[in-house]
Amino acid sequence: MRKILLVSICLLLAACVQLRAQERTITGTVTSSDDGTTLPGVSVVVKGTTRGANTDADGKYKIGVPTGGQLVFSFVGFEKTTVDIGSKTVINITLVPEPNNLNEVVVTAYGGSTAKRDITGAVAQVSGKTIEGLPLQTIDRALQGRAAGVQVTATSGQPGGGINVRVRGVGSINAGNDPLYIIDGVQVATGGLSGVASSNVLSSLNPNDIESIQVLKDAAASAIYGAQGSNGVVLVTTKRGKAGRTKFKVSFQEGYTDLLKKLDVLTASEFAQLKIEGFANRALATNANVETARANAITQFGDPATVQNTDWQSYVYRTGRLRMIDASATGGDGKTNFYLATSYNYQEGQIIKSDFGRGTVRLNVDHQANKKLKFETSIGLSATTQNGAISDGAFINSPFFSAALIFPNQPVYNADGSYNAPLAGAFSYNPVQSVEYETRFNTTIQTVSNFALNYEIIPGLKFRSFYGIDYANNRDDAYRDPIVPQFASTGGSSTVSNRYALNWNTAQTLNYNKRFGTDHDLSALVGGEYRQEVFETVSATGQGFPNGLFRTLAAAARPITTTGTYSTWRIASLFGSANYSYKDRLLGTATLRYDGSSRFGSNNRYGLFPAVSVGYRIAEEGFLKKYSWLTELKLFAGYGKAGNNSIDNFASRALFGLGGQYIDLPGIRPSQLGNANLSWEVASTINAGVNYSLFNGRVFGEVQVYRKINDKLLLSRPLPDDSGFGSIFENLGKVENKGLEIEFSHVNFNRGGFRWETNWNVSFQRNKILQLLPGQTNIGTGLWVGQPISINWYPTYTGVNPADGRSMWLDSLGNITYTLQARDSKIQGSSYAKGFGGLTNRITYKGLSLEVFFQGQWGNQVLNNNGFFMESSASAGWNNMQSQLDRWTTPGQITRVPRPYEGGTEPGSSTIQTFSTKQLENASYIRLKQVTIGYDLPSGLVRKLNMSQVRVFAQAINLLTWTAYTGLDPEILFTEIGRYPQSKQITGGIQIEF
Amino acid sequence: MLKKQVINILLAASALVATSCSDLLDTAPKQSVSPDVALKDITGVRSLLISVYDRLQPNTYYGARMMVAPEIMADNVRLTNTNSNRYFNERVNAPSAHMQQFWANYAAINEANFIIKGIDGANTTTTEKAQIKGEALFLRALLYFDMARVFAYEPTKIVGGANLGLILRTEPTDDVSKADFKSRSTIEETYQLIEKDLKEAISLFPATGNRFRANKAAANALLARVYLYWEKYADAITYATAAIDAPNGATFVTGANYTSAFTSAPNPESFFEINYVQATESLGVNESMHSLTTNLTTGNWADVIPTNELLALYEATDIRRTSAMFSATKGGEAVVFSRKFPGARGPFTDNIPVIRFSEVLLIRAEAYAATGKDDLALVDLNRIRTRASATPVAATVKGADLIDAIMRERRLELYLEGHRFFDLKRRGQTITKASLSAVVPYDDFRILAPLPVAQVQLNKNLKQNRGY
Repeated sequence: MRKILLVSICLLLAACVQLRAQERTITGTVTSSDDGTTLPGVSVVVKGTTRGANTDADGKYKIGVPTGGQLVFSFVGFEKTTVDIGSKTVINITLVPEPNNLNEVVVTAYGGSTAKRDITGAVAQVSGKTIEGLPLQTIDRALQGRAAGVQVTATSGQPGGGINVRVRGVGSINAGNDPLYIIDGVQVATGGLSGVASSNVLSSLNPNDIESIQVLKDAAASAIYGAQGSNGVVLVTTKRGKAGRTKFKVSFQEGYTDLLKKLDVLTASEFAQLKIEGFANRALATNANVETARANAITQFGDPATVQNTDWQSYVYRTGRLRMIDASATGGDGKTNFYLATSYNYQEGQIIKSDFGRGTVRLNVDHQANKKLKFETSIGLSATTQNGAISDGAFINSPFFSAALIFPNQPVYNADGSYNAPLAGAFSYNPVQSVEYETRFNTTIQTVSNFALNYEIIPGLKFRSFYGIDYANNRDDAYRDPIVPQFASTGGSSTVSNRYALNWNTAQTLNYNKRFGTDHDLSALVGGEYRQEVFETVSATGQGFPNGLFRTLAAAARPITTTGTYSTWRIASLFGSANYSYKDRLLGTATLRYDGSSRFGSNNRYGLFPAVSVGYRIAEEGFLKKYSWLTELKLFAGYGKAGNNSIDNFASRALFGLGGQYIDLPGIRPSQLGNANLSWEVASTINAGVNYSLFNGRVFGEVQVYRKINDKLLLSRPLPDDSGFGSIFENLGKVENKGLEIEFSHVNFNRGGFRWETNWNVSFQRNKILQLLPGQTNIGTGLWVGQPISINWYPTYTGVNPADGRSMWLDSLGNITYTLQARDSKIQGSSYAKGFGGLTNRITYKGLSLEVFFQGQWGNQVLNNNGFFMESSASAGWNNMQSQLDRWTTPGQITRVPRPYEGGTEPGSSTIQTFSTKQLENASYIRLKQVTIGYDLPSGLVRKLNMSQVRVFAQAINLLTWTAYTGLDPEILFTEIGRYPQSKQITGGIQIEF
Repeated sequence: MLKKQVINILLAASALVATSCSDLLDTAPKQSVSPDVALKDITGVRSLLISVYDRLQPNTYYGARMMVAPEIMADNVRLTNTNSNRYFNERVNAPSAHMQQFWANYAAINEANFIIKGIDGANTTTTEKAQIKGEALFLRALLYFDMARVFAYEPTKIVGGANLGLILRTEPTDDVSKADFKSRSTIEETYQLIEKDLKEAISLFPATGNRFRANKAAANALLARVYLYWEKYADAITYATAAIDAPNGATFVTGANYTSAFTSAPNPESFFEINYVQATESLGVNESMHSLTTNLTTGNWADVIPTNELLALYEATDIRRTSAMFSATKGGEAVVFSRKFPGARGPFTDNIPVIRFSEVLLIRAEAYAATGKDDLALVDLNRIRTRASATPVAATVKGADLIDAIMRERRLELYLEGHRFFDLKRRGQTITKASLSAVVPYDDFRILAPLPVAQVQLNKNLKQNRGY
């Protein structure tokens, strides 16, 4: 290897000597055909040589050339243009933008980049332009519907809240399924830190700072990240400075957020009517006095004729404000370039008091110290605050849950204006009061920053030394004011939690690029990496506050608890990869990574992850050249292995942990049995695809198929409970994910300044468990061999007996039953979507632009857990849905809603409130996710104002949803209860560049 | 020179990574330690014992379920019309609405096994070794006995030949190989182990002890209860008497102090009482007995109230009705709440009496009556009734009638202390109550709890109870 290297260096030197002998100089200016502006940074190369230059800040270049020959101009996003030099001394050229995405530069692992046309693995891209200016708090939301194979589901509608991102399905049962996020080379921790609000580590990043997002989907692309790569890798690249005069950009937008919908609940009058029926039915069945029962119902719930209704939902929901301000400056002298940006983002949630605020600063500086040495640094700082809300559960003090379920005959306020609290019924908290007097405040300060040193040892051979840090400090304040009656007994309480997550990684890499002759292109990367993550929490609770004015822990009469947690893990790695291309036609890549992780058992700590992929740009072949409409056609395939190490940091160890306390003494107890063989999960992916561009880029896209087998899945092998342990983690399971991804773009119309482009992406996915515990077809009732990872396990509901209005179900033998047993449940579909996709239409006419983006998914059955409570024929201690008006009332009536029966359990029947297919709903949906209308002021006018661009725009997010799902929002993972629903955002704004 | 530079950099990089791979992967959890470190010192064993006590506290065991479920599955307790859905299915004895949660006791049993096995080699005094071992044996017996009551018939009341008891483990699981698939021992063997553990504990304990921890009197009292269930009445009398006569043990409170005794810590009547520290162990508004059984604090569920049938059994003057209960309104319904869990230890926090002097008196009364010593039985029974300002049972009440009177007294005295269902079960009686359209006869499969389905599927040697 070293010898070859030296030989090639000698060859290179020899070539240079020869070239110098024939040198003369050419100058010129490169402009864009788009708007006539000059283009800095365009690469100008003498064809067939390594001799080249770049245009300067004003788009000018100067290059020494031989007589004859050709100059090749290439620039990201523009068509490569070749010009005969002849005897010219000045060559001015206008570059035409490239409609075809195949020339896009794709960022690759460890600071590299390549053209999309040379990629042989599965990589999805979202350009920063697509998401710029969207009123989204986190970039993961922007991936939704825009990247094939990447399924994005909001786990909370809280602004800045959690997002579930799954790349090519769910591969793991007990380990994590989140992809590895890498921001400018910094591997960041995922998940949210806050305990009082749904939060998201990516909320430290201002989406407007993003240049591009790449999702590495198959092992060929992600194996370079070894044991962390199997869930896919999301590479986020922020904007960097470009040489040229300093450009400023300021944008401002303001708007509002609103709820998607309210639950359609019974009015007080309807509710009272159903309650009366329920009381009477119960009295009849239990030989009690029917009239007394009716009177009781009226006493409690009011007379249907006169009772006053309160729409509780309208008191807790609101229209919230939203504001985003961004400012950036970018420029540089070519030697030192910078990108400086700051932003402020504030959004009120659609529930009272909940909000999100964030300020960010970013400074990315590149400095070319000398010909060989280049520094890069990226500093990202952010401060985030959130007011959270109790959500995601059947919490009677959660506004999302309780507002719909409170008895509607109760007013929010008493006649004297004070809060009506406590309320009657199971929902005793007045949610308007408890939201007002319960603080759930999260402050997070975070930096994701890095520093890299690049040294060009010899031409083509670069050493890169990279250091990245992701540090987040979070503080949660949870305060419950004693003014709320339920909090009065403890005198109010305050819990303050401080957490920090420190995560750093360093990579030392050598990168070698060399073209041998005209046909052989080789690039190679070798390196080592180390990453450590530390997570620590300290929290304290006090009770007994004089009043809401004194909220510090010092004001608490009684200190209650202090807790602390600590966890850490480390990974050390060696890796290498090589790319080879022959005549730019045949492409090959091989990758190898060797990882050691502290999380695994002492017998299985190290692992090797290989991958290979090949590509064939067949359109370049002579026999296809004659088809001029075939601009590009690339076939590619890859196979490789990547790992999943997202298990608990100490899952392999035999441990004694904390064991509660008794009579003020602390306990310890055995917490888990050890498994020295515990190892990472291995995902083997085979991927094949075709990348095409037709009619000069009018139609282009990609089709890929994959099969991914996740083997050695960490399963908690159940141990008999009588052993004292519930389970032990072992590498036992196997899951298959396979799918088809289609990306299809076409320019429908492009004439006279009018341009209409459509982009589709559709992903079909199948998920199947291939193997669980040895010799067993299931684990519990949730996991079955041959089924997707998430199935619904419920009995079948068959409606109401027309004779008496009782609920009927099917028993295990398929016969109608009124009393269910555990054995009557069976598999009832899956909450795993069969497919998902997005559709974007972009229309521009002169300065006007319109973007309409739909997103959706289909084929999933989810449990509407709200229905368990709210579709109970008004027989329990809370309000119900309007659908319950269809209750059975008369013999012979066919309906799915049983007759009201106070308490819910008819004699000899299971309760109306039984989980069954009654609550299962089809959660397929199509959503009009985004509509943006923009207008660029005419350039003449803008120039007069001394500006380069002025754009005004209006946009709407989550404007419309089509679905059969009856809950608040069909965008759910498995089941929904008391969830913070997503919101609608409508904004308008202006963006100015000068 | 270039060559040298390249080599140097490569060497440096690989050296960095190579060192990483050895030491740099070592991490230590700060909240946990390895087993060999944990139990090396007596302090570890002491803390492990604390964990076993901690396991008694959750709402799925003594914290609430042990107190409420046996009452509501029988005829002592009902739910208010508006309620939080808790114990909703237990109320109507729905299949699987039982106390199968107690299967989780095995985690605590394993910890007790660690202690019992390791204590002899520990670095401490013989006295402390005896104390710790005695406590672990008592706790293991209590944990097994509570499970036996739930998952099996009593040895003398077997239905349809279902004589299976529990899986009996007496060795700690310190390696995955020991987590093997065992089958259930017979109920007779189960009771024998409980008996052996308690007898050994009694022999190890000093005469007096802390009543928040296992002690000699409590072990005697618990063994008396075991013998009562086993219908070994002579033994029941012996051990009940030993508990009653124990020095500095539990005492019989006066009628005037009856209700306030439930606010003392420990209740003077408690032989063994589970202590709760409000700051760290309160079960809170969601799961505490205080929240479930009273409306004394705003936000309480206040779901659990006595049945009308039970209320009718109290005489008008009975202090257990007039003083230990109070009338209130819940959702428009006139109801009666108990004062046994008044939040005496802080918001939503009360201690839980596991075995109380009055119960032991009633155990002895029943054992006397069952062995024909009606006069002695009547003395013990009327101590309870007189103290409660209720009419004493007449000396003319004999034999089966006397036993019925004692059973009735147990309902009145031990309300919300988790006995009624087990009393009916051990005596082979039918459950009748207003919330049921049909009675639950003793031979109904719902009398026994189902073994956790997942456990039966996992362990082919584990036989499920009949009917499930």
